[in-house]
Amino acid sequence: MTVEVRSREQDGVTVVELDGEITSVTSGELQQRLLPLIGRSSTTVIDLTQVPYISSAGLRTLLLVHRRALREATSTILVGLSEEVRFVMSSTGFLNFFDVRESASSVLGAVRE
Amino acid sequence: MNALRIPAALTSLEDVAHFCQSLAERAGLSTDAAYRLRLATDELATNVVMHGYRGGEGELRLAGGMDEDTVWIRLEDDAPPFDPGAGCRPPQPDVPLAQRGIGGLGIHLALTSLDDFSHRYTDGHNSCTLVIRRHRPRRRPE
Repeated sequence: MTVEVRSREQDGVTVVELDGEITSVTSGELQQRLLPLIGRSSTTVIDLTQVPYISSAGLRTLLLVHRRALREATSTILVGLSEEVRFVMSSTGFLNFFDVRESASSVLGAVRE
Repeated sequence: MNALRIPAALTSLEDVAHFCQSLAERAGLSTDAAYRLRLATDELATNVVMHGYRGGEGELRLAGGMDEDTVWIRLEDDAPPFDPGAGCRPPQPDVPLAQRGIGGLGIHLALTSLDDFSHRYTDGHNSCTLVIRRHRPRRRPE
């Protein structure tokens, strides 16, 4: 079981779509593929629409993304969070540290303006 | 009631997930309750694999069932005594994320997700009982 990572550059923003469950089984490989994408553009949008499940292993991945973005002085925006993913992030205090928005298209529209 | 015996290894955690999902389905749990049951079981089982047996060999035993009001999973292992409910500190919301340690988050998530939890250690076995209410809607933290 793996998490698929699809990335594209659009309007100066790197959009990364994740597809799959982020667990202690899948998170190691995901980190290897995701972290090098952070810092390619000044803004990275991580789309979690196709992520139905994350555990604390997924939070650890997001923590590493957050640290990488700070080091690269770039911003990270999370979009497409399900109610359940939101619950995992809010009950651990992670939600406040991320810029969370509805969808990738809303971010790209805002950047274009 | 149904049961599962598996080697304590990361690859077994997919079996743990399937066990929880099938139990949740039979109990007719809501999406939210089913997620919390799986999350709590996943986190506690992961903790046994990574820390309980310290990466060594061992066994995980799961049993699950339901009554009128609750769905329960009992998780057993033969690792040294460890009570996940003791000394679990909540995350520190004031500490910036970049400076936080990640340890203990899984257990915190597990205990937050459940409606009831208990642990006992007898005859060389840890036995954790995880309980989710079947019907009562649960308020989410803001």
